[in-house]
Amino acid sequence: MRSVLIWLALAILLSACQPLHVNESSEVFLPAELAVRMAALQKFPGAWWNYIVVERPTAELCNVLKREHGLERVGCSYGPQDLRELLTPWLNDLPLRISAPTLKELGERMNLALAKASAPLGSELTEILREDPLGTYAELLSLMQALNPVRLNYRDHFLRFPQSEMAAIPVLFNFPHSETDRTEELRKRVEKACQGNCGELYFIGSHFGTSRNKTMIKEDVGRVTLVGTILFVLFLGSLMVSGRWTVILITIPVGAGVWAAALAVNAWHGSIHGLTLAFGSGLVGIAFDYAFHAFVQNSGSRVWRANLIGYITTLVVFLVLAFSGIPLVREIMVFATLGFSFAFVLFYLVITRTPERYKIRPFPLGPLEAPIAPWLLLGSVLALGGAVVFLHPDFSVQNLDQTSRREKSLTRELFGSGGALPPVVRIHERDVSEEELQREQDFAGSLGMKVVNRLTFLPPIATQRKNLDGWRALACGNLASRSAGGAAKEFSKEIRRFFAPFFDNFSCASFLQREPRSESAYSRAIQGEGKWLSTFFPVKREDEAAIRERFTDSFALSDLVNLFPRMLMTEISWMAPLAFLLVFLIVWAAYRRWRMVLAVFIPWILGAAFSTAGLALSSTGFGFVSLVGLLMVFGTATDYGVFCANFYLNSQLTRKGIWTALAFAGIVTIVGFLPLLFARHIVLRQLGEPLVLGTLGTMLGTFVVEPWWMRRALAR
Amino acid sequence: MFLIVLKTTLESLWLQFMSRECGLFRRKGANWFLSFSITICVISSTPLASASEKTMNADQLEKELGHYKEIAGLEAHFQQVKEFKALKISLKSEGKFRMSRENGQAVVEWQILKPAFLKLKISEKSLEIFEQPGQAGKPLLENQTMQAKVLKPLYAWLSMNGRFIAEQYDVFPEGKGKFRLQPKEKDAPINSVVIALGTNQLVEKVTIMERSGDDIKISFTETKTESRK
Repeated sequence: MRSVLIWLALAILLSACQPLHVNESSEVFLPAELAVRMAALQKFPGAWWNYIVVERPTAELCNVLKREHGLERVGCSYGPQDLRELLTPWLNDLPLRISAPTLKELGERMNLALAKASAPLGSELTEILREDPLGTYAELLSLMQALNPVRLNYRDHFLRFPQSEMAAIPVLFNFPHSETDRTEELRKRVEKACQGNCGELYFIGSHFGTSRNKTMIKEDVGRVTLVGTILFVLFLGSLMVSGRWTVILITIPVGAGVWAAALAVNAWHGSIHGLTLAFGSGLVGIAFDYAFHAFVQNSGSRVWRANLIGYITTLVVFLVLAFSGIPLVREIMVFATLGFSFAFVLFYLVITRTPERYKIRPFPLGPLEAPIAPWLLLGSVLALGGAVVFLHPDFSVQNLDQTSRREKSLTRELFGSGGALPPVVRIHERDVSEEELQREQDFAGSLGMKVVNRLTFLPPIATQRKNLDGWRALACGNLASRSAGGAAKEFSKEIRRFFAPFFDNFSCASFLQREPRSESAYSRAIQGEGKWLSTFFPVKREDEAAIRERFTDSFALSDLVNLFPRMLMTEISWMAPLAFLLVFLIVWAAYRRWRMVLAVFIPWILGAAFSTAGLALSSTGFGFVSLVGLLMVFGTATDYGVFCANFYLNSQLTRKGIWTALAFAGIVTIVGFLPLLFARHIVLRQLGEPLVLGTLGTMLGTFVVEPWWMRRALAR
Repeated sequence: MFLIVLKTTLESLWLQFMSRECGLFRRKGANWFLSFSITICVISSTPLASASEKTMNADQLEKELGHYKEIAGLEAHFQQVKEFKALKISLKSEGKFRMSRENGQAVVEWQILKPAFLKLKISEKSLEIFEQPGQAGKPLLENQTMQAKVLKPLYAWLSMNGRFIAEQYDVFPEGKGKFRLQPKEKDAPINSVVIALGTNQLVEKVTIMERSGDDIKISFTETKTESRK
């Protein structure tokens, strides 16, 4: 046995040589194949757009935003001037994009531009018409709007929400959302610029969301730590005063279990996700139950038999869930299995070797005899049945994001499709062939829908070369002599003066420097770290299916976002019954009597009923984290059920000991998770609420209902 | 009005002193006195000046433009000269103006025939452009901000609807049958629109001063109206 301990210690030491790499990526919510796509999609600048939603946008706010170094583009007072930086390269590349017009065509287009310029449309448009008599700027605007994920309309210089009239100011960051400190500083500066003049102010998007969640969790950690420390000190103080301080020693194996599991997962995957560390540790903490049980009972083999049944029933659930297709769920379950098992084995080795050292005096506690017991059970069964029918979980990833109801509704309105079908995208490597992109264009054209890919911005190189030759001939032939005033037959002096920016841009000399190319500043929206994005805009449902059939690597963003909740729901629908069946079989194998088996599940019935009732009444909703909480309740409740049943079946066990162990286990769980109720972040409350309420229900089931049931069962 | 005259007089005096009598400024007392009196005058006269220029409200305007209410349709020929001041270019254009009513709302067609065909169809909520005869219309600008920016003020005076005009502009009477419209929105592309009615109570001349400094002079001829039944 000693050698096993040495090997374990050695394994930990070896693992400890590797630094723990905690990752916070969102790809962990998706299966590997789709996670790669999600990661690639986030590399495109389009994914870096965020929105400042404001009731009354002020000039000061716009000035502050436009001065921000961290923002590449700001959609304040959106108009042609905002597109100026794209318009200049766009017009420079005109000879690459379109074939040269004849002199007659050019003259006609110029006359049309003059007719437009005659309207009182303002100097901005006049300036654009002077540079772009062919009117191609409208195409650039149309392209940029097509790629804009927001479906609001511009009104009075801003994107406006149809009902509330609030303005949405798009801001494009030039740094990734992981740099939360920079985002937070920017947010504070914006709030300062508003100083109560802007009315309601909201920050929407991945940068603001990440920063808000991190800041709030940081604040929550402070609050939770304070409440937790107070409760822990009180708990510790009561143990010290009553001479039972040795209980504290049980934290060491659990801590070692968490650490060993973290190192093992880190060594296996090369990193460990922050959510795994946060929620997996709680699952490992279930091992406390066995130590409490062993500390206060002094009957080795019978106690450890009950502990083993409790351990196996919990482990089975972890193992079933470890078959999940979702990497995050898999990682949490592998972590929990390793840490939980490590702690259990360590407890067994340490406590059974020197039981006299790990012994505490039990409190004078006993079961509560209350006539309400059968009604509590009946009420809980009914509540649980109602929860199964009426409580609808929402496992969406957005549920992990701390947003107010108002922000959620604004986000829905902002990104709502407005009836349009979601775009379908493909991601290409940098060296994607022009033929492949042309196939996309042809396919989209055949179905009468739009596709925006690299060729939308710049045609194939051969076409560009042909266009360039035509323009060069025009510029260096007729146009040159006419613009110089040589043969001004087609273009009058006024026309030459009006369209001087155009003639300057297309002088013969300028064509010597122009060469075909595949990328430019205006195509940056579809470029990301050496990859190209192609976006199809389906018109009909059938188009969507046709795109997926023709291009099997295509996908919609909504696929990625909705996949996690859909997959989890599908998996839960078979994993939960399977896990329950396996646990039932294990308990059956242990007790082989219906009444005993049902007795084991009584604490869980009450715990689950209390948890789900809490979830139904709470504003936090039933999310993914609530599921982790319910799982922990299931683990602890089954342990309590087994311990209680074990006690009634083994009369030689210390009467007071079992109730002290159960009370300790319940109080430790509540003390550990009660501080989460003081948190503001939804994720922490989603974990805290079902756990605290569930543990209360479990204790009620263990102290009131199960003893009533067991007495009746044994009497028969 | 008196204060405006006084202000203008003093300003011209000030400029004369600046240009011709610079020696005065070397005398500190005179410099201080002059600056003080003009500053006081400018400060005191500015709000009074704007207050003294009486604006017309929607009712008054509707009364003045009452003739348009009785019209079901209107057609006119227009000639327009747009002066691009900075470019020193005069852009001449001409075409047809037509106003009809659809569901009680005025719909305006501004059809330019020279230098090229271009038709703008303007209703209360949309601005469509037709680049060729018979071609389907499309929004003038893909950019809806600019569309909104030009649509309302343009529609207001083209439709000659007193209520719309009063919503978009401050209206100042400038003699009989002549009004100066100043956009209420600060960054409108137009600085002012001066409308002169002819003897037939219909618009005869319009002068638009753009914020850029360019101006547009439009004169309407051969106006034909169709009365409401």
